[in-house]
Amino acid sequence: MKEQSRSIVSWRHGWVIVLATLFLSCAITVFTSFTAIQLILFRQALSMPYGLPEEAVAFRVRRHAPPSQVHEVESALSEVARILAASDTVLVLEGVDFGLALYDPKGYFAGYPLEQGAYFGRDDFYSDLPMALVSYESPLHHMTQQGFTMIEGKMMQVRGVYGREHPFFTDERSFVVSLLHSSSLLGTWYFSKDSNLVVDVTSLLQSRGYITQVVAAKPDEGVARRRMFNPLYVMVVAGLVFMFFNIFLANFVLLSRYRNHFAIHVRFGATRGSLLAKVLLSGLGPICLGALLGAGLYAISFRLSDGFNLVFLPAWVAPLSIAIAIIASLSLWGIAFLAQRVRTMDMGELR
Amino acid sequence: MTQLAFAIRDIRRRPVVFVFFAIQLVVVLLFLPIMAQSTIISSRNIRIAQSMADNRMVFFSQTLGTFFRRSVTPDGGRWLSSALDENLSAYSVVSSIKLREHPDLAVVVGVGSFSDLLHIKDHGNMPAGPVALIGYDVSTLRVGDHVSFGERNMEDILVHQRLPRGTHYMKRGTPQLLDNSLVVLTSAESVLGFFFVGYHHFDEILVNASLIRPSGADLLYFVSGVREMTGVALHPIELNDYSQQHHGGAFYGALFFLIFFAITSAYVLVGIVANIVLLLENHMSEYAIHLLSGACLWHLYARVFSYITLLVGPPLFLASILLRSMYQAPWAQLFSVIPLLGGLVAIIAVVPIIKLRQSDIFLHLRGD
Repeated sequence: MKEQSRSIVSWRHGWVIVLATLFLSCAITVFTSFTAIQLILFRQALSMPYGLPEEAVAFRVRRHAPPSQVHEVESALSEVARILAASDTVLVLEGVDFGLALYDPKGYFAGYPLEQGAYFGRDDFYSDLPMALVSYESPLHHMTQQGFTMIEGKMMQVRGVYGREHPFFTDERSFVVSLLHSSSLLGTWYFSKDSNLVVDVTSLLQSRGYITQVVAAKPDEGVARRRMFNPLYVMVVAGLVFMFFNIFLANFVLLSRYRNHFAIHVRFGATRGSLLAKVLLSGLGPICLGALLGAGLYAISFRLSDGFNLVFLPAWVAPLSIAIAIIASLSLWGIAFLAQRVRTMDMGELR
Repeated sequence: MTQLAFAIRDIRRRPVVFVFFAIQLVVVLLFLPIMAQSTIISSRNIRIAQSMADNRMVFFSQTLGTFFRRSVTPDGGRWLSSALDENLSAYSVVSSIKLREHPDLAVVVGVGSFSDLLHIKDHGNMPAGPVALIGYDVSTLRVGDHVSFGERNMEDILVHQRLPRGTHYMKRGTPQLLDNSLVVLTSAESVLGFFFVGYHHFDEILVNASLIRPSGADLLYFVSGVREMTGVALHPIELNDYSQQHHGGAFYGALFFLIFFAITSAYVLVGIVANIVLLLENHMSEYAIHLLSGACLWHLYARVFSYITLLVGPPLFLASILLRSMYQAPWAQLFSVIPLLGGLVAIIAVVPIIKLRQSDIFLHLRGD
């Protein structure tokens, strides 16, 4: 009984399998983490910016001529506010510099909690007094003295401070001003819904020498997918194919040392199927150990370097990586056995 | 030559496998150095940014519309000079100046508290007035030399000392090495008046300005002062946040793929070795006949070495040519690939040669 339960593969070769699976598992965990990150970015790319509703529309505003004078910008913005006044349309102007300009007199964003202060009131969107929300712990927040800070060259009253969870938070933009106090008309204009008012606003801007171009408020799925499956991703997939092929070759060479061993088993009644089961069973332990160690090695090395670690990634990354590593390694191990040419097998069963 | 012909015949027998391995080698030999280079650069940037983290530096970006309409006046120049030289812990640099005697030498003129960033020895013993320092790798100047500096007023400036290797500073959030530069330490006032004509360097000083450990009031003083005196609206950016986002993101992205392609490379090497071992096993009878016909083991080794060289050489040179064109390296650097090729061939050949040495080759002539 004891003899029968012994592994068909020697313990020395078992450790070779552990080592091979360890690195494969580490590489597969890198691949699944990368895929998870790409999927998160893909989902983000397909969600509406700044928490705007799905029916939002957008257009981009450019200008070939030199930038407008300040009074021209102010007059155009007043016109825009006048056009929008009769409706409940929300306008978010994503400027070319470092912030947003907002027109939201109905308080669409008022429900989101702020770190400090309060959201804009209805009258703030028509007031001559410049007002802003600033990002928490940003230089503009630090720069606030007695409730005022300088944004885009204007002293502005800081109404509130928003944190990381707020829809206006991005790494690149650190303030939101009321629309009338934006320093520029250039950038992407997001309207919460499509209506004739949007046409009126674009006509106004065009009459002032600006070029307007309709863009998708939410990026096109095809574009987002192309961005996800970029050349680097293709190279990583190719790298995985290379690894599988090379592991198969290494397994094939390793198992070829057992050809005589297999032939003896076959002589004494073993079938190809039963031998395959034995080979798979003998590889299962080292493969599982290697897969776990590989994912662990990844987690430890990235946790130590304070970079991407499995904690910040979706919960499925670690188990899926380990499962893929085990299934892939076991399959390659089995295929390498099936590719062996054992003489007795070719001759058929001899009892 | 005969062994080379045999090696070519081995390739022609299984061309698909040979080409597949060549493709694998090109991919890993191309991507591994790219990822390693990105990791090294971004980790250096992170290290430098971390070494400066205590300075809590803030640099600025200009609001495009206002920068276009900036006004450069003597009052504005004086205000900027006094803010950088006296009123604030701040610095800026001018890097567009060239010396007439050393036109190929990069010159960095540091104004304000720039010297505080350089960790200079004997800081207290620095001579008054403008001082020149040379980077670690500068060979055209020595300590004690003088350099003529200026346009309106030329002044011979003493090269006071050589900077330690790897000395750097931050310019708009990105670390800049000074190993190949001449550094001139002076005041913003000198650059805006004494040495140079008018306000040629005003814009550069303005856009490269950084504040060191500023309080909120300092920030507001500088931003509102620049707005009032020049019309330019500045947007402050904290260096620590910026480097965490930019350099940190780049580092972990590069490290991610460096690990992946390093593992892929290891497997490619293992695969090549396994492939050659299989090749040997399949040709053992042929080798035995060769040996019986008067060949020695050395001939078999030469055949293995030829095969590996033919397999590794072309992908290595192709990847090197692609990398050379990518990094604008001189053609002469291609010769440095030869030792690498030798090393790779030697590493791959170890297992097959041991296998040949330890095998009883004549045994493979037996039919049973």
